[in-house]
Amino acid sequence: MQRIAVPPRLDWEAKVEALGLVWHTAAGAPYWNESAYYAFTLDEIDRIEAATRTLYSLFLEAGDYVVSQRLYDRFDIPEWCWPLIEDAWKAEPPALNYGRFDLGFDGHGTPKLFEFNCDTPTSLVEAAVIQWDWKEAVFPGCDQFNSLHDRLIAKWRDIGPYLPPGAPVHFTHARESTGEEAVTTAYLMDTARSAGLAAEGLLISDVGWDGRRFVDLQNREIRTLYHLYPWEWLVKEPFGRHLLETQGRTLWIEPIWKMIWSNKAILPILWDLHPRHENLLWATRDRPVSVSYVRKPILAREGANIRLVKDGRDLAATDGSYADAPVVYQGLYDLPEFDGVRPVIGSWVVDGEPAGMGVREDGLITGNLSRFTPHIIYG
Amino acid sequence: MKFDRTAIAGMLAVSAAVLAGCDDRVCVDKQGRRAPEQYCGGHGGATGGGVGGGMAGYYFVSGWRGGGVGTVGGVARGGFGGEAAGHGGGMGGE
Repeated sequence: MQRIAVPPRLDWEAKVEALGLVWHTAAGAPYWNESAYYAFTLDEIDRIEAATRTLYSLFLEAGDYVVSQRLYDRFDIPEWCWPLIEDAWKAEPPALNYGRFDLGFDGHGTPKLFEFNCDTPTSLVEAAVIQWDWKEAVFPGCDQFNSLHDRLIAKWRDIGPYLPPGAPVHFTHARESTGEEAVTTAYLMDTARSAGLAAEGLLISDVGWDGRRFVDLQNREIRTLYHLYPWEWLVKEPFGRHLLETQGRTLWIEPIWKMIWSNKAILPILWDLHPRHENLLWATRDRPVSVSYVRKPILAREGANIRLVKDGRDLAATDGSYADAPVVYQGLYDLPEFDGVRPVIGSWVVDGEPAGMGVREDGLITGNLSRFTPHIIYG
Repeated sequence: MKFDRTAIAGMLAVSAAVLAGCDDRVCVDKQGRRAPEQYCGGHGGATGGGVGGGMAGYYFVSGWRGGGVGTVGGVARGGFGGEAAGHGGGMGGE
């Protein structure tokens, strides 16, 4: 695993914007960073892929455990959602089963899990499209750990026959300023269309309720709803309770059981089920079991409200809007440092299978100003 | 070529289709990130309000004009999306 400096393409902004990455610059610096790349050996990629496959199996087992033991209170999940989660977990409704494992990896040891972002994962366009286009332009003879695009289309094609008939898949996201959520959602919508599905988009705030059904802006019933919008927010909002009334009518992608896997409260459960597993860091709910640890809110996003403690002393901390949320403690992982930055591996699954990866660079805590840096496989 | 893909040409066409109708006007938002001009001055919440126009097909057209649940013609809208405003707009990603 190496980080190698390389000149950016002269018109890189126009090139990535043409492919949809309009949020390529943040705080005056490139968010999409092609002034360097990571080079991995095939053996290193094999280890990341194997860890990803293993972790997915651990999450399956942990999900079974949470549902069978009804541990939902540890996840801060409202009680009225519990039957919906249990039904969805057992029935396995059609889903992409996609997500991104954030891993610590230095090229030498085994990859270690930080968390699983599988409800509303982003950096998908960057990983699936932008870095591939960069590789084709700059290193056309090299390979990349990246089958995301093909696997997404294949999965839509796979589940298409099982979706409610006679209606399009409606794709939704919240309104925000950078275009990241709009383009990520539009990209997924296009993968569905590439699989032959009818698809339409609307803002999540435009979803209507006619007293019996969720409807779109033309007041047509929404039968399949993709949401780049967190489950923990959906269930708290005024329309949340309508989920009960429309159970079996409206299919949600991803399903509501993702409230378990995407919640960091799963981390102590994974550790309890598999203590000292080589791909896990220790994790607890109540208190740290070491003088070096990370304190994380169970539902925070983009690195918010994280506190790093090393040898009993504060190392770094971030602010955010999750200060009052329940927390978990996780063993501190020393991220490797390359040229003053620290990379985190985002290893994707689609249909539960390893599907590619992206690398984001930041300081000790990877937040929303991290930089996405492409990778290649060599050797 | 263990991890190579086969549908790259299709992928690029797809992405071009995503951007159909998108002009290249951009501005910088308060985080310093480049943002489509239509969103300048409108940051910070799921307030709805006609995006549409040349951006249709890229940014989804909004019919709900924001701020809590409202009912028109027997259909209530705005019952989802409110939490995003409390987190600075958008969902922030995972």
